[in-house]
Amino acid sequence: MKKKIIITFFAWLFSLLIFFPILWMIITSFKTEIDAVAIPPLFFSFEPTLENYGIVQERSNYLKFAQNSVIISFGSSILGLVLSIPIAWSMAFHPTKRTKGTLLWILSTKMMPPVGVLIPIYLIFRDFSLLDTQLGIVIVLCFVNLPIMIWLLYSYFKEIPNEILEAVRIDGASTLQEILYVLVPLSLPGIASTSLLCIVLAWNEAFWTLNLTSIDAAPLTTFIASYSSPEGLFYAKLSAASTLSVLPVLFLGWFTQKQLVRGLTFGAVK
Amino acid sequence: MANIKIKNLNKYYGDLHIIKDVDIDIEDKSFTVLVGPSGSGKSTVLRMIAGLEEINSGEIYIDNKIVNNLDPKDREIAMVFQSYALYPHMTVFENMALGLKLRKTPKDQIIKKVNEAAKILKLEDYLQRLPKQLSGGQRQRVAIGRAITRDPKIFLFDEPLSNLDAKLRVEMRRELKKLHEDLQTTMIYVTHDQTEAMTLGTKIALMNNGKIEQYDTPDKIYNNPKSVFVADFVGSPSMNFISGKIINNDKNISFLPTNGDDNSKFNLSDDWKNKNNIEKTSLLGFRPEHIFFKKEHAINNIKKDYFAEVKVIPKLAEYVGHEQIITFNFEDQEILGKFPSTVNFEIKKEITLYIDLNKVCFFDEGKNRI
Repeated sequence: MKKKIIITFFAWLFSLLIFFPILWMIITSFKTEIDAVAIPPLFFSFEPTLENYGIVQERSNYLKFAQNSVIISFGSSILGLVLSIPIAWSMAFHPTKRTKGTLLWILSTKMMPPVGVLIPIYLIFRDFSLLDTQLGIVIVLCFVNLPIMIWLLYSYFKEIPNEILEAVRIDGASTLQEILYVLVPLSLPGIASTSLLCIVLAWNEAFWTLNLTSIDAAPLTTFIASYSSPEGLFYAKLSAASTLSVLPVLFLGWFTQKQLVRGLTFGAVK
Repeated sequence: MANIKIKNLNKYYGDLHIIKDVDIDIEDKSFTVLVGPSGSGKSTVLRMIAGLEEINSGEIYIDNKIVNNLDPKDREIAMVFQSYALYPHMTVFENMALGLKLRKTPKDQIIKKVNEAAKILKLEDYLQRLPKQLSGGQRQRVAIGRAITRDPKIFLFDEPLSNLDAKLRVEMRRELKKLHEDLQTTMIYVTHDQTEAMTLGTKIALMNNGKIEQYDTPDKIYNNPKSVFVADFVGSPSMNFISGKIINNDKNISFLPTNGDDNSKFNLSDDWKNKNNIEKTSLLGFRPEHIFFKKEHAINNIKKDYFAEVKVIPKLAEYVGHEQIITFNFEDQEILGKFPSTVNFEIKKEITLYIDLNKVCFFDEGKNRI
């Protein structure tokens, strides 16, 4: 009993610690710029105002950025699924002696700092006229998340008995039918949590979106960045912009947290 | 309906030679059982017939057409897996209908065929259930139903009964036999259980170490085993083997067990005298049911009245119900005998047994039949 109380206490403590920056951001977004930089910091003893949200909406069209974010995050995840499902299928069910090595190699690309390939990618994008286009950023984010998608789906597919796929092959299915009729329905929870994770990752991705977009394809990350100005007070406006950007994905995460947790801890417990 | 020819089939996993020059001719409408201990390659052969496993060398013909490079879906086969491999997200009906759906069968045909199969397998009441809502035996039936609805040329069974409990297994075994008689389709069945093999098969291919040891009717496998391995694998309890040597002189031919003396030596029939290589015998085999504890029983059962008289000491009695299995000590070797359970044996007291010499088998040092 005593142990439980201690565990609960620490669980709350750490949760609040992790959540505090977000809470602070939301609180700040309702302050005036002066209150936002006041020392000592004001917790609740200030006059809440919606002024920042008004300014933000006036200065830039939030919906335009939000729309881009939705298109980019969902687009890159869907494109990623189309590529990673067959890749993970072939690795899980038709492994060769090089499959393990290939998987590690795929993952190793995530260990490289993205800035290392910024110049080549930028030049390629310039030559193919993909700079500041939704298609361009969808492609690049898809490839950024592809290693994670392949790894997650691979571990999901590994759980499906090979015999079920063999049975449908004997039943007369082509490879595509085998994937669509059996593999996808059986691993739907895994596919769902993989795509959710990738949507969230793509939504929050800032390096590539900041470097490859400016106006037309700019998502909410660019929208936030435009509020950090080198001079003047901007904390409250920045917080308002950030709150607006975080809210949709926060709700998505809230409603799908069961799937997400299952997806992230998959394979850890059997 | 189809015949299958397998010629010089070979399979390697890296350096491991898994299937070694397997040759089998499977006749149309036969029920062929591939049987052998685990790791003997029987499932691999089946999976190669199904097209699930690559062939390294050799050919497989279905209806005299080479199928080596055909996809499983083009081989007109159906397979029942050990784990049933039902589609867990589909109802029983959908499970059985998928094969037809993938072959673009008209809807009314699908409904008709699935209902027919469900009737045969007594699954009519379960068509809308999911596999997880069924018992093991019912799942097994669905797996068979999925195979039946497609009217395949060949049925392949990969240890389909080994996940069932003992009683259900015997029941399903009988149903499978009946199914074969009703459908009159070529069936190939893999099992490690010799009882299943003997009861189901019209032909049995006994595999060991990637090779076919003997491919014959159950009767010949049981009564005419080609090697010690075959003789040992079938029958329960399995055949007795006594090591020793043949003494063949002018007067008569006799068998001297290892560690034995003149007392334990026994005469064999003169018929064996001129058999080729009889001197090379190092093992004498006979089945537990060919041992009798009274001379009269032996004589009644034996065509020509010759039998060997051996002095043995009962060591252990196992009661099975209608019969009992007694372990005897014979010159430091073990002999098992099967007797009615009405007979009383006194443990550790020497008695005389009579071995039917019409039924003995001779094996050489290479464990092959002479």
